[in-house]
Amino acid sequence: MMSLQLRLLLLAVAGIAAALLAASIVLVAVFERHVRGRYVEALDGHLHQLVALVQVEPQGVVSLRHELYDAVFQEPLSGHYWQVSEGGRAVLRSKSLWDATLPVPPAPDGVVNRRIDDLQGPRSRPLIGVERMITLRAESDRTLSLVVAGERRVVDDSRREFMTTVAISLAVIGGMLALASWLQVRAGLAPLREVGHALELLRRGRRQHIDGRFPAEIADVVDALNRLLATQAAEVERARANAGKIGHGLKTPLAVLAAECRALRSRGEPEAAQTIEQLIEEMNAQVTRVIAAARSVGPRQAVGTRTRIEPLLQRMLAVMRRLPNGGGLDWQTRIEPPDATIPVDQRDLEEMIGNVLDNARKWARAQVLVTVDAKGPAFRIVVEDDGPGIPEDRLDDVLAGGFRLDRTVPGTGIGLAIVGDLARLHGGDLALGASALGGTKVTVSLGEAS
Amino acid sequence: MRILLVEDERKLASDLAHALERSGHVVEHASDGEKAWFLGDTEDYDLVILDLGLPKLDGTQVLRRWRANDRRMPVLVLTARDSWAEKAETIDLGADDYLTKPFHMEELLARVRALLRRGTPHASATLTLGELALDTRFSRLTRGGVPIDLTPLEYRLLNYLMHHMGRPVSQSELMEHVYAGSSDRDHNAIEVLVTRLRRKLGGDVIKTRRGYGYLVGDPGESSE
Repeated sequence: MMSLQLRLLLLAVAGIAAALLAASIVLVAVFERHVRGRYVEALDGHLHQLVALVQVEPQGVVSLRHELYDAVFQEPLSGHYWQVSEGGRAVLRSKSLWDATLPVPPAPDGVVNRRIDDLQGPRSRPLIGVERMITLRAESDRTLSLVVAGERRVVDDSRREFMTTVAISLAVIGGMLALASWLQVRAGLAPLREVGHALELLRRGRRQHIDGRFPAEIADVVDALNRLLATQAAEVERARANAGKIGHGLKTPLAVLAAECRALRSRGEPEAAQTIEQLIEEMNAQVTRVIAAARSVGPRQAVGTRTRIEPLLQRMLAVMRRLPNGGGLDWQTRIEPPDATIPVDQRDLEEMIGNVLDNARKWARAQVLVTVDAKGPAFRIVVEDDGPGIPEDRLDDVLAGGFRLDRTVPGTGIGLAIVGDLARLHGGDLALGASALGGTKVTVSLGEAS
Repeated sequence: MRILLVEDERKLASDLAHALERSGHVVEHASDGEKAWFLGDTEDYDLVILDLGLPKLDGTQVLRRWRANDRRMPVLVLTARDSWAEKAETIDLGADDYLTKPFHMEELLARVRALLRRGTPHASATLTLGELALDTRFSRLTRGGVPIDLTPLEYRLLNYLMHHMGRPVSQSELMEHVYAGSSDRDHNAIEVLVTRLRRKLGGDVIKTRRGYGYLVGDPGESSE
């Protein structure tokens, strides 16, 4: 699609060109009419003189009392001519005609004065002529046609000269107008470019709304956008609250069902109880993962969010130290760079770090090492413990979730699966491996860091 | 040990109460937040199991008020709210452990044992005193590997004393933590129990401190 700027510019240029063309046509036409009028007036003046000079001698011969004053009529082929004709035959001619005659077409009956625009002069030059018919009363019925003509070149040359001048000046005016409209379009569209820039910042998570002062027309759009962003944030919050409610609503009945199961077992139905317990565990795993995903803000809704990793990690470590087994562990952290922030919602990050640390808390013997690497383009959280580790052939089961390696160690067994879900939602992944400390090494990689 | 169970779901509450009683605990039940707050504020419990979604007063409010009032008993939060933001908030309020619903009963009992051991010198579920070993998982007592039969009341009394090793425990405190409810039994009942235990364990295990109460282990051994 053509850019708005180009489109506006093309429209403006087309408009300017059309207006200037029309103006030039009118100007030239008016000028030509004026020049021709003046020329014809001059010819008329000569014609008046000619009328006054024509006489019929007693023998009936037509002659002039004396030559016309203007010398151009004496000079051969000067471009100005006169001729007196009777009955279509030239009876008197200016000296400038030399041996040529003017082929004056016969005038319609009753016409006394007329202008002849397409007269053919000597050497095939087009002429403009004026003609008057005079009737000699003394010798009745003798009608003479008096013609004065000049070369049309005079008018044509003036017109051509004028057209050149008009074309040059209109081209200059057109160029200036085009430049003005280009400036106007640029200045007019500048706020739009600013909005585009702001939206880009928004998309990259550097801003949460569009700031700045904009012209009234754009300000309306920006306000609408900001309202949309606010509404979206509220929607996310509401969806989260709902996910929490659904979780609460489903999990308590599951707990009751588990209680019923134990009653069933004590009444001597261990097989039925076992089946139901398995189902409860599966349902719980499903519900927990789905709710965790639904509750998560995700990268797209988290527009403009940035979370500082260090305080969040310290808060979660404080929580871990207060939980069983957590207080006695040596928790070490290495954050590089120390003030790293990442474009992930705080609660999503809490959920991931909480689950990973909790896993380490339950398994570690004495030591947990948390390494945060935000130096490169990708962001990584690595949590290592010195616990028993996960056998290599069981890694996939842990990642799949809902599978508990050891029922005596507390936990629902789906924490790491949730971390994997969230990490993938943020364009990252979860990897399990062996740590140099002897236990498990959990690596959460996330998107772009800065 | 005396446990306050705060849970508004009746079926779940009775299931939990039975399981805890079978493990040798005295259980009192509160089904709403206000009652829970009152009991926890006025009575002495060794542990509280607290549901968060409660009628009348939310569990987090109950916990906040207890801690604000310097009530320091261990609190195990039992909750359906399983996001880490909520867990962290709960633990910041002063919860000692949390368990999300639905849960395995064995896991809950293991956490109860671990929380009860806090502040005692015992590191595992088996409490030891000389040759005596009290396995709190199965409510069993052995001496040098030989089992000694105990009635539930005898077990509860010994269990309480061993959790407070090195501190003299008064008869009235024992009454509260061994017998269910605020019974009107006279203190002879405790004396009778102690006499029966001494007969099974030997006379020097449970010592008498005149004017203070009964004591196991050496004074000052407890980290309380």
